[in-house]
Amino acid sequence: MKKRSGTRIAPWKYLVGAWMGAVILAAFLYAGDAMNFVPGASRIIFFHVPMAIMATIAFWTSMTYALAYLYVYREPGERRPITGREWIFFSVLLLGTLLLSRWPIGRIPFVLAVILVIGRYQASREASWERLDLKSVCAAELGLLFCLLATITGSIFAKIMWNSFWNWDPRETSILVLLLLYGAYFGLRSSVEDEERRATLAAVYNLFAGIVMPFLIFVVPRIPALQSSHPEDIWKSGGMSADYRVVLYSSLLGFVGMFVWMFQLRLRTGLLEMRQDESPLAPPAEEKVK
Amino acid sequence: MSGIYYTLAVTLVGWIGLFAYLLRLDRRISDLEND
Repeated sequence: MKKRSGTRIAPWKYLVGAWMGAVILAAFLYAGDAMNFVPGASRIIFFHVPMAIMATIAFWTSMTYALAYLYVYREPGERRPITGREWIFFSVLLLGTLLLSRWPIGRIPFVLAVILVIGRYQASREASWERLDLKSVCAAELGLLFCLLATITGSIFAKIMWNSFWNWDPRETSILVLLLLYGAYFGLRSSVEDEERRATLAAVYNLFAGIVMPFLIFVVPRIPALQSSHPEDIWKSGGMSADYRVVLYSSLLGFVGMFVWMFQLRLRTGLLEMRQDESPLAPPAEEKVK
Repeated sequence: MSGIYYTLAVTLVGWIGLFAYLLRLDRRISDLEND
């Protein structure tokens, strides 16, 4: 008989399990059918929308670690606290981009400025470039996973609403480009053998992908000339009832918990692999390549 | 209406399976970390 592990699991992880269970029950039994949707079809929104939001957050999280990596890699050594000059620069940058965010398209520079500040903060806390690269990969992997799940659930929704899994709608096309964009990130990583070179190239590519990503998600599908069928901004226009809002926001919170948990698991696995590679019992690098 | 209950059951079973897998994985990683 297998010996049972005595390791304790943090209570918040059980809470995530119970919370998501309650969200699933509420999505099907508490929230009613939405207007202008095929009956029952609207319930997929409680999972599809949080998945898409989590994909965006995960890709941006990956970008913050890529930025931190580039900073630490450029200036290796001990932890470097943020200097007074940098604080002034960041304050001016945040204030300037915040003024731009009065216009919808101006919100993207503000978010990118926030990512820059968080990236610099991460660089001040972590001196190891290997760990920053690992964190960046972990977040990108989860982002790709959530993006894929959002694409699948969106496709199921399209089948119910428009009788076709794929219509080449601007939203569908842009998410496909996004999947390819981050698929190429992993392609790039797997094509470079040298760890330092791979991490640096991947971090630079990650910055490029992180800047392009919000345009694919927030701008392209909203271009009026493209005439997307995707239901946009229902909550902003007040078209969502209170029960829908409660379930949707609860689901989003549950997905955040899942993301944190899965990110931790992936990171811990990566750190174990790093520890194993550094171990004196590990096989030499040449042997591992074979 | 029965379609909704069917989808609910499949989603719930899927989530319970994923949750159990995550718990198992978490325990396994903790054991390896403590080794």
